Amino acid sequence: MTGNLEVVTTRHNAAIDPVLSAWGWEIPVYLFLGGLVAGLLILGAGYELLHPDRPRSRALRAMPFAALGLLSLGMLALFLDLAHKLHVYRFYLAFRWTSPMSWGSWILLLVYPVAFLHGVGSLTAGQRETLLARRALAPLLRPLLRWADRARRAVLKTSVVAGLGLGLYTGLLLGTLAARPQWNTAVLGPLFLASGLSTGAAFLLLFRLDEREHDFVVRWDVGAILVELLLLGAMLLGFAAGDRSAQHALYHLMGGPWTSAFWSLVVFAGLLVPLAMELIGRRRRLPLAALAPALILAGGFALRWVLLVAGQASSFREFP
Amino acid sequence: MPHQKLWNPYVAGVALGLVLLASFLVMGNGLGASGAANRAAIGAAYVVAPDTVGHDPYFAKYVGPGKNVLDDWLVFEVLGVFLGGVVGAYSAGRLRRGILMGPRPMPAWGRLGLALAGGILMGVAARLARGCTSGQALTGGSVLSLGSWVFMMMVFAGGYLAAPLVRRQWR
Amino acid sequence: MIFPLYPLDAFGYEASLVAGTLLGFAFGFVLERSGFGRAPVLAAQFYFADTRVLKVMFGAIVTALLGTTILAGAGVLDYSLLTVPETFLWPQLAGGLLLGVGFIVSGYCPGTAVVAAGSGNLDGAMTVAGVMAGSLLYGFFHPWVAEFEMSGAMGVARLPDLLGVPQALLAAGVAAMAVGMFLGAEALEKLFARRRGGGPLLAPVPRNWVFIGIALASLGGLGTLALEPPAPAAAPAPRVVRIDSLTLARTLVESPDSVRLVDVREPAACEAKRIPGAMCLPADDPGGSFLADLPPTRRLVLYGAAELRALPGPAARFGGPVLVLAGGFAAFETAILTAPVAPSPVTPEALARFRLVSALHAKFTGAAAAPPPPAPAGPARVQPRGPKKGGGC
Repeated sequence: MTGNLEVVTTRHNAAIDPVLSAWGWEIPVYLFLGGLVAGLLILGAGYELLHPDRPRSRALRAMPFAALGLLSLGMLALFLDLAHKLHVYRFYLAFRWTSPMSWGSWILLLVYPVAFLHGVGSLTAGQRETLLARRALAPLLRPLLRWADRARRAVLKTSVVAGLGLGLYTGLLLGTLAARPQWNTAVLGPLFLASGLSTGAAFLLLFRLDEREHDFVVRWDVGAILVELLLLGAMLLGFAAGDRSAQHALYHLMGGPWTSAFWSLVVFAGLLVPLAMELIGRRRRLPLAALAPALILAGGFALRWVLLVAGQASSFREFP
Repeated sequence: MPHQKLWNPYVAGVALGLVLLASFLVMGNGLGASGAANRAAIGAAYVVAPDTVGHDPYFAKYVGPGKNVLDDWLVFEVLGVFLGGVVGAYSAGRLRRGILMGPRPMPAWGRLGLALAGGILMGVAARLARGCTSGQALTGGSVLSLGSWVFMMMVFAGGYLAAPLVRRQWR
Repeated sequence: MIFPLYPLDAFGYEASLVAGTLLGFAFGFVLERSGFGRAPVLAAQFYFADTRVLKVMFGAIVTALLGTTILAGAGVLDYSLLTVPETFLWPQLAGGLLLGVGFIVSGYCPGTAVVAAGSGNLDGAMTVAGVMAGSLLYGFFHPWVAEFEMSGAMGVARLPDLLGVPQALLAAGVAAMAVGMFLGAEALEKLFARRRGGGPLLAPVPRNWVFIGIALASLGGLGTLALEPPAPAAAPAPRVVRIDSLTLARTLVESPDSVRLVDVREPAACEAKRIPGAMCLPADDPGGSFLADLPPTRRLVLYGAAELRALPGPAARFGGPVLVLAGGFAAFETAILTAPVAPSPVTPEALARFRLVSALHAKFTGAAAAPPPPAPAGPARVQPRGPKKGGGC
């Protein structure tokens, strides 16, 4: 009875909202780009932390700025989705440590300066000269550069932490809506983090990296995909072992309406095929075609889209 | 020469036959290709001009409220064909963006134009014959359908008849 | 008979799409490795330079044909469930000719063009675009060809039936013809290669093994003719379980969300009076095709006016357990919707049962529960209420 009460008060009643489609394309785009940026930050900063003495390619140096641009695009999508756009500032008037949304909005606020400092510190000497030559910029830039260089390792470490937080949060955000059985799993956070790592790596692979960077990124990509597959398996096992609402969530992906999208688009086309290509390419020393990263990116988006749409169609009302 | 890293045709034939046999055993129907292209084209046209396409009685089979034109076995099968092509070419070290042509050099637009023209002919033909070399010749041929065998013989006939006309492209 | 899996309900529609992706992947991979993602290789067929297309295609047809023939002969495969393309003689004749022309002009057929696009060949991608445009064009001009499209319609016309030859014999014949064609094609290749001054093309080793395999499989197919013809498979009986009115009523009261109760009578009859909590068939779907797609996480309970003898088709495809109300609506009406009569020899069991039925009767009709020592009254007012919760919607 209490279940019914909860269901009525939160409108999670199949008869009231047969499919809760409050979220359209904006949220999957935001979650996808957020994860991608998280992956970019972790890999970019991680490479420099692990191999501080290696030269870095142009693409890797420019990466933090690309991350900023992509994150802004994602934030724009999120902003478009908000019903009360003028109330955005309210997120920043409070911090509730129990709420992932609150965490998320503060993490986003942290990502911007960290990525910016990360990017500024990555500028080459030549680029710095060009920028400092501009009279208007110089007084602002000079201390910034000095500080970014001095605190370089701290910036990089914060970058990794911010990336980890961002990646986890994109999954945990859905997990807070426990009323949706599809999202009522703790796996979503690590799953989206792993997926973000692999999409971030795939995005980097679209650009020209030097050989050692390429190796590093592919190795991490392979690892991230393997972890992602394990986590997807864990998610399904968790659903299978759960109560009837979880069975319903499992049914969505195993025989139900999102089965083909999940297995064909996400698992097969988005994970297994590019994984096979990366493994084959590593063994045979083949240059990696742009198709593999493109498939990973498409698969990463499809993962979020499928889980989001399926989640909005799953409810407790149907299966008490 | 192109024979490098290609399978022996007899072995490849048996392998292809086993895939086809697996399709019969699992799905009860064979393989196909042109049906998916048809659906993709109709889907694209429906996005561009929903009124024109939606009210056409021929297209109404495929599109309309509550119908997803891409929700079809063949569409997923051809997605697999594409991925199989990607992985096959990549693992053989020949996944490369380019335009294939015969030994005689010809402008890229000429080759692409011929490819497009041939494609259009085949698109019309496949609708008329209710299938292409995969769906009719290969699949229907294996279950000994009369129409499929007629179709297959005519494909070879058409190819040999037209071959001298486009000889400059290939030889 | 365990094959074909999908028509025998081994898995559902969505899973079939996944199976399609995997089969397509294998198809594309083999086509690519055969060289069919490369236009010059395909076009060589039509100049007798490399008759790979013929070899691969007929090799595949013979393999699949012999495989299905042997398995059907051995009683593992139900051949009648395989989809056979229908024959429309004239359009298929014309379409074949036109497709052949398109093949040599573009260098691909539709399926291999997809493979070519996947291996990065822009001409292949262009051909795919052409095929899409061509099918669209056909659709727009369909009224002009609608009549021709249907000409020479022969329905499912299979050569063994038309010729009156057993399938295994015909399959062996096709195999022999194919081997003959292979040898002929090789002779032609040699002839044209000598004219051009080329060397020998292929090693004979795998070829001979393949030929031996084809011969053995043909013999195997013929061997199945000696077997007993497989008994026609009885249609798999759907798992119909009966549930009696009392159990159903208790279930509806105690755990309304464990069952989904569907009234499969005429929608009008159902609208007038039904078991409270039941859903009627929608007016626009009187066949109840939605039943097949319901998630199988609740038991499905169906009832008609009287007991259902057979499940409606869509319900048979329902993924979970299906129950049928014993005696149908009439039985439920008598058992529950009619006020119970007090037991005349008052035994404890009879009294307990009477109490239960009165309580259920009260619950379902909205009448106050009859007191244990009953007045021999007529039926209480029967007033089916719309469901408040459970089932429906």
